[in-house]
Amino acid sequence: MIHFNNVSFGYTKQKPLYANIQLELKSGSVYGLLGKNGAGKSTLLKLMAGLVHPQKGLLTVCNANPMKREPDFLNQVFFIPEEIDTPNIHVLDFAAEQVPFYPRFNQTQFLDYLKELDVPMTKLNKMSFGQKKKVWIALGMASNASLIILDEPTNGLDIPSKRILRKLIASIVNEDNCIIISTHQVKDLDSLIDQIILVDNGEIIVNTDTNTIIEKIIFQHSNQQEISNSWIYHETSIAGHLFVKKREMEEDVSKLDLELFFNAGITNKIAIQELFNQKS
Amino acid sequence: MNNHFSLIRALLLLRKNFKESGSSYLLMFLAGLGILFLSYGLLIVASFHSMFPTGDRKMIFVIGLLLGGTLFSSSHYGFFKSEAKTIQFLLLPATTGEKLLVGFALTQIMYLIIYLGIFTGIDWLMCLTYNEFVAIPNWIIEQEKHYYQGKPIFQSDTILFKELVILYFITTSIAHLGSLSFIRNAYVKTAILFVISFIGIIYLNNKMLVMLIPEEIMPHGKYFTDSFRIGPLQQPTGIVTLPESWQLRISWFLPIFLYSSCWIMSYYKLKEKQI
Amino acid sequence: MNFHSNKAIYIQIADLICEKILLQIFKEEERIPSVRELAINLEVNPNTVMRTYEYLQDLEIITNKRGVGFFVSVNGLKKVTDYLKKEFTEQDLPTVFKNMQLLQITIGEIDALYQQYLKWNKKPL
Repeated sequence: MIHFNNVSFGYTKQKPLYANIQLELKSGSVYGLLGKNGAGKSTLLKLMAGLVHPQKGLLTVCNANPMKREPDFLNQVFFIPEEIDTPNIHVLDFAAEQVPFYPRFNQTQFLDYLKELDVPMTKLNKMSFGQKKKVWIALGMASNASLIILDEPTNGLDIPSKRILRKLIASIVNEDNCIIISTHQVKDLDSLIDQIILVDNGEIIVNTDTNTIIEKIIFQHSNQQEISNSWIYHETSIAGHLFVKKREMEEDVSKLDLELFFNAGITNKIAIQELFNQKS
Repeated sequence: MNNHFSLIRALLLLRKNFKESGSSYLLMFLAGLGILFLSYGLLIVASFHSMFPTGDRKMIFVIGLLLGGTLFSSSHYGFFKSEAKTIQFLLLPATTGEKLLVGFALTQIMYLIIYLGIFTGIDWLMCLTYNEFVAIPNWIIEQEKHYYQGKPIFQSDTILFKELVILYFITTSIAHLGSLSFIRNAYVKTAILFVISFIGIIYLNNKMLVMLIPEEIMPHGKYFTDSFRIGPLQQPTGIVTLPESWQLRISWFLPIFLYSSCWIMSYYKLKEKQI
Repeated sequence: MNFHSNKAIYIQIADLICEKILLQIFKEEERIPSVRELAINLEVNPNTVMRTYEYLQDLEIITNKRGVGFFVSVNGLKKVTDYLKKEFTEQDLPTVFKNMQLLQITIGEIDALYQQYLKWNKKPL
């Protein structure tokens, strides 16, 4: 669905943010884009949507060049930014003006989603930030776009809405679409993500699926004092060590701890890359 | 829907624009109306014992047309200040041409029609009011009394209507382009850049003429150099004028060139816009 | 749903379904929720549920009838009991034994407690 072929990008020519990245995203999955603040997560999302243009390389999204921003490409993509700004009109009027541009938009779904997310039927300027964000989320989910990009979707959402969001995302995943979520709040959405893209310092450290992760490494807890050499990464507290290590064939798989995986990828980049990247 | 220009989509965009920004347009309209009424009111008060001044009214007309028009045009992409709104605008499934057409329709057609409409209306109404309430002084002789009758300015032929409308189209197109190019303080930045390039062009034009012609010269012309004087002011040795056909061609080529380049640049600015 | 244990989520979901079969909420030869239904209900990725169902199919606990959905196998209850027994002996018992050793608890003590438990909690039929 999305191919980055040697794509380079930087906001200025002198300071490249991404250099020659190779990345492939397939449909039928929920991608979690993880990275530290300022690691370039939003930029990667903007590249996919055609909001910023690569300096070099070839980028194909839904068989189109996103740079051209052609209507047939744009109506397959729905981007929900982190910050929300809406005109001061009624939520239904707002939606009614968007709908004609998205041929696969489903009005019934939209109204259902609004109801489930507990969005009041009022003017948008009377809504809180979180409520406005939920309007966008409902709009995006009802657009039936092939590529749905969510930049920090849980920011500003209250606790019940996060649960509904998880249900909504689980309900719209199918073989033909692709959902990309960039998030800091890993725990909000970790049970939904089945593909992980880890970025740091303008580099794609890992792009792999969660099954491969739990097959290749184990997340465990140890209350022993000593630290083993076989650990890829560990975090120590009074309760002992939380550690990541390579899984042996006979060992049972463990639950994926995304936070631990993230920290492992950032601190012990080489070991993680060795395990997951066939090419390098 | 496909990737080619579609009038239906353009109309949908226009409707969307009106629905979303309708209230701010209404506010601008009312503000404009208020300012016009206020200035006309002041004019009437000031001319209680004299003629209803057509010159001042023309000034109001020109200011409203050009200043108002450029201010309106340069605020068209004001929402670029908000990243979320910019993303929404850029990713809305419509072609660049269709999106640009909204700006064109609003700045080049809608403002002009509405402004001409309300100005004519107010001017007519105010002339009526003036004639009704302001008494012609007694010492005016009968033959001169008609000078003291307020007449709508469009009835007088002294107004350079065609030139003003052309000027309106050009300045608002520049303001529209400025609005696309600068995210903050688009009006001020465009105005400064406009003045600098205007002065720069005049300077370069004169410099070039001086370099081309060995004698002392003084260029002259209304919109472009159409003649120049050779020799010093006290003792001119001759006047060179552009051939008639050249002058004619330049005078229509120049505005069309400026206008179309503004819109072509706007098109590519919008097409290549990144955030 | 909260996935508290350190087992992979797809296994935790499998355990959940096994428990339902054991409690006869899902009866033999009856249809169980579709992948999508269960994914929405548990707020997990449908691919994870799919993996669970594949896992349970491998264990012959459930079967896939093409175009209809997933059903508990004919002798699903026995298969589940076997599976959970295996899991219990291989995973839970070692921890219990370890604690028994650590706290010096004899098997006799455990037996007494177990008999008492059985008295109070009769198996619901």
